[in-house]
Amino acid sequence: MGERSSKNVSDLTTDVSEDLSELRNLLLAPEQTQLDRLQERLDDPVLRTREVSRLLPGALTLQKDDPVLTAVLTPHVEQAFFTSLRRSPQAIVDAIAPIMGPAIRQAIRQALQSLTQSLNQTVEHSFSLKGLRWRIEAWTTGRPFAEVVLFHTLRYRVEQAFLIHRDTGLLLQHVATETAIVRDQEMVSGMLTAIRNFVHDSFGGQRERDLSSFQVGEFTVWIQQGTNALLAVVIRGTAPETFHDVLQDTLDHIHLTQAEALVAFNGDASSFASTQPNLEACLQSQYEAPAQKPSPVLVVIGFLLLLGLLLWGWGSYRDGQRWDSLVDRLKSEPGLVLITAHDHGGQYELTGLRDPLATDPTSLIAASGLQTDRIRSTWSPYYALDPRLILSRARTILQPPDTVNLALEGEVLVVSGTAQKDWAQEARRIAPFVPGVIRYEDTKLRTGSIAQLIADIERITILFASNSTVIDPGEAKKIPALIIAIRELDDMAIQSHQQVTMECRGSVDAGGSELTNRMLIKARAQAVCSALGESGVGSATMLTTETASIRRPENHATTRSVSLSVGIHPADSAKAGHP
Amino acid sequence: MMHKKICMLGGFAVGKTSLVRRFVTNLFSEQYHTTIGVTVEKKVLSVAGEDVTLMLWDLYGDDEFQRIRESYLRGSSGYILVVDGTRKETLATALGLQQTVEGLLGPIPFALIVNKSDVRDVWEIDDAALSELRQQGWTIFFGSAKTGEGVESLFSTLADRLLKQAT
Repeated sequence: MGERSSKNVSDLTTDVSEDLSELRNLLLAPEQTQLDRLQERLDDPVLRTREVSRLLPGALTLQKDDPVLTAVLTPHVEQAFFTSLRRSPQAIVDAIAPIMGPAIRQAIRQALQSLTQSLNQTVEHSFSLKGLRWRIEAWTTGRPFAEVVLFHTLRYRVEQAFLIHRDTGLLLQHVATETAIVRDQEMVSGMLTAIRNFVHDSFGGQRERDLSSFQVGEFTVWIQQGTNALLAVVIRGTAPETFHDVLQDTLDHIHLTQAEALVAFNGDASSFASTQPNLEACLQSQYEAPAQKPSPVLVVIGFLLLLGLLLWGWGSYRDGQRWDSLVDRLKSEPGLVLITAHDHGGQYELTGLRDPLATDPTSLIAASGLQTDRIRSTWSPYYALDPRLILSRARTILQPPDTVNLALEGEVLVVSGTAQKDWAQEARRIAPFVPGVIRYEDTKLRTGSIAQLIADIERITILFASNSTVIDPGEAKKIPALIIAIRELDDMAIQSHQQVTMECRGSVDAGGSELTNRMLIKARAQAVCSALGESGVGSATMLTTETASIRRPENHATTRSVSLSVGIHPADSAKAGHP
Repeated sequence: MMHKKICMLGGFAVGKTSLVRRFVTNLFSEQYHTTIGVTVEKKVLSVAGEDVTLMLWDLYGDDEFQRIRESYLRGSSGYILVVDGTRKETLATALGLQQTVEGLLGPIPFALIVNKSDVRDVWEIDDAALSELRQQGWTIFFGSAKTGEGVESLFSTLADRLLKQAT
């Protein structure tokens, strides 16, 4: 009973299940199909992967700002990067080379520029007087030479820039030059804010009365105020006022680009890293411009101009001196009367009178050293009464022979010497017509011929006492006249191209021995010759002593005498005749 | 790294400066206290694996000669009240300062440290007063400038609260 009952229940249950299944199939068949498909998609990894791959880009895009996603992906990305780097480093190198190359080149260029600038400065200041002075300063003060150079050549250099949050005084960003001494910039930032607050509370109250700058030794701190941030810069030296504009522009730019970050600032300054280039742009510096070296061309031109100026100045001075000298020379020159002498700025004008016999003024002008084409001179003829010119004029007109001497004694033309009669007569006739000559005097002029002179000479006899070979003082007085005659003869012989031979011939009286007489003749002739020779008888005259024969005229005083025997010969034959 | 501005406040000669000086980076002389009424010091902490820099504005004591400058408080993320356990009146000063700061900056995190715990037997401040403050939600530490007790935990706790508040 129990078993049958149980079997019936079982059958009934089976029937119900089948019915339910059938009913479910009837009611939920479409949904079941969908569920099966979904199950299949979930169970099939290939299919699911394909579907996720379609959704992933969109999903990542939607979650781009999710820090969790970033945190989750970061280690995988890093791992993938390192794996890739290990597997194919060349691919990475190829990928980043175009980026790194220019960056490295720029870094090297900047380093070299900095080095070059530093070297230039050091070299420039090492070998100058100024550099030596700075070396001494560095030595005496114990500071490095580079620092002394910097101190003297730097106009200003912004060494640090602080971007400070206005309310908290916390540092948002800080940049500094390589050489700047940076202490704890965060504490400096806070203290700067404290000091600014202190000043503001103590003296300000209004925004425009905020602390904007203060000076500490060689440093100046400028604080540019912004709505939410301050920009403080530490400047070595003195920056131009226009640098305030640079700071303000920078601060404005930061306020513009970081507006949200500034307002929402909660102590994390990492988002302000992007302001670093802006702050670095504020690290400006300006050095003293090196003494402007003029262009070599300008130096040469300047030098040439200066040289030209000097030459022109020297030329003008020299011409002035030469002109003055010429004028003085013309004024002092006999026969020239300078009437006007004008210097028209390098062009000269001379007017005056000129004696025909005066020195040619043109030769004086040429000798002056001045350019003759710059001198215009006009000379009118006249007769000068200068004694030298009167004499010159007289010589020109009278044409005296060389044996005639002209002299001017006051207004009298005095003629002396020896001349032919014809000349003497002609001179006496025309001399009064020589301009400047009032009277003519020729009483000292001897007129005659060679024969006459020879006769005159041979007529003179020098007498001696008995047995004497010494010229008696009374007889010695004849010697000068004899010499004058001899010289006149000599002059005339020269004019006529002849030579004169004179022989001193002694004579003795009847007494005495032959030997004595011969000695007396010789000694007396020599005495006279010596007397004549001492005074000189002229170049055309040859004086000899005749000793060959004893002349013994009649007992007459003149027998103890010496006389001259004169001969005249053509110039060449004289010597031949008297060896 | 997170940076937070913290003000150190307290009555005259409660030991604010000596309490923290041994544990902070200081760059500026104490002379600033008497000149501009504040020195800024720095304390770097690591809280829950994260570094945080506390910029400590050590404000010159509050007394009849020199009032604290409210402008120094501006921008603070939190503050520390320092009380001298041996001088009861310094607690009253701290209470007054707390009201001033809260009035100015609103309810920002703060902590109170009762200094001179090394001479606790001569304290004038009793536990009852402090318990009352604790019940009001105040975070109170006992510390000693002499032994260094309580200082690190003071900063760590406050920094932790600041970071949590920030997140």
